Amino acid sequence: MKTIFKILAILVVAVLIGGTFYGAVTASSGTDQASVLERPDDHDDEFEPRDREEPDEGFMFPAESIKSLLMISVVGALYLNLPKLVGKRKPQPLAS
Amino acid sequence: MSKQNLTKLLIDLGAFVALLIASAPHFTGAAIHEWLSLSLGGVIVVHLLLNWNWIVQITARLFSKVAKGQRFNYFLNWALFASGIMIMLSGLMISETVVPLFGLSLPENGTWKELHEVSTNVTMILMGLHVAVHWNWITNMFKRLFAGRVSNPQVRIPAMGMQRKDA
Repeated sequence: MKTIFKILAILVVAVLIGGTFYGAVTASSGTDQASVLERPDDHDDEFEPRDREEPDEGFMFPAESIKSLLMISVVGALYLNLPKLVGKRKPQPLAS
Repeated sequence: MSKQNLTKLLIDLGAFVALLIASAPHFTGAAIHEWLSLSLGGVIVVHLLLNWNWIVQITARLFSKVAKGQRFNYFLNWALFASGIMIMLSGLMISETVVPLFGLSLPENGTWKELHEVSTNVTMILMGLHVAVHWNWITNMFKRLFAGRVSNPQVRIPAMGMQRKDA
């Protein structure tokens, strides 16, 4: 029972955050969504189709995964090593 | 290693690999990308449940005496949670597989696609920080995991446990 309440709490918070984002995006983009949904069927040709990307054939390199892994690694390495690098830089003694 | 720690480690490792796979929609295809990302949402809920005590403790002590690092970690986790929700929301708004499966059609809005990409990049940066903050825990868990598997009590040399007097 406790677990269900915990899950509910997580979902409620998620919905609140998601709702806030949704409200902010729809308010700023100024899209009247109802008018888009209620568009007449006989004028479908006037709307440009969603630019779907053609599926590529053959083996594909997961470049986006590598990019994500690189981003995570670089940020993580910077976070872990930046204090050391900054701390190592000692002021040079002035030559008399 | 305790059973709970092992569960946490395996779930986190699985979620991390799944995140990397899900971040490559051109490689996996739209269907795998969307379903895997949705299931990642479920894994995040499990991750939060497993760390529930920490969340409650830090939330309760947030405005009193909490270590600086813990407070940073707490807000970092909130930011990660929020950016994760942004990915899910924007992903659902431009969904090509999951949402149409339920007979729903959403209005096309280029903003959601841009937000999906931006929030993905933000999440990766925050994930890098999240991993870095827990790096000691991760390495310790792996050390314990592999130390437990490598060491065999039957072949352990007794002299290895002795301590040098001059040490």
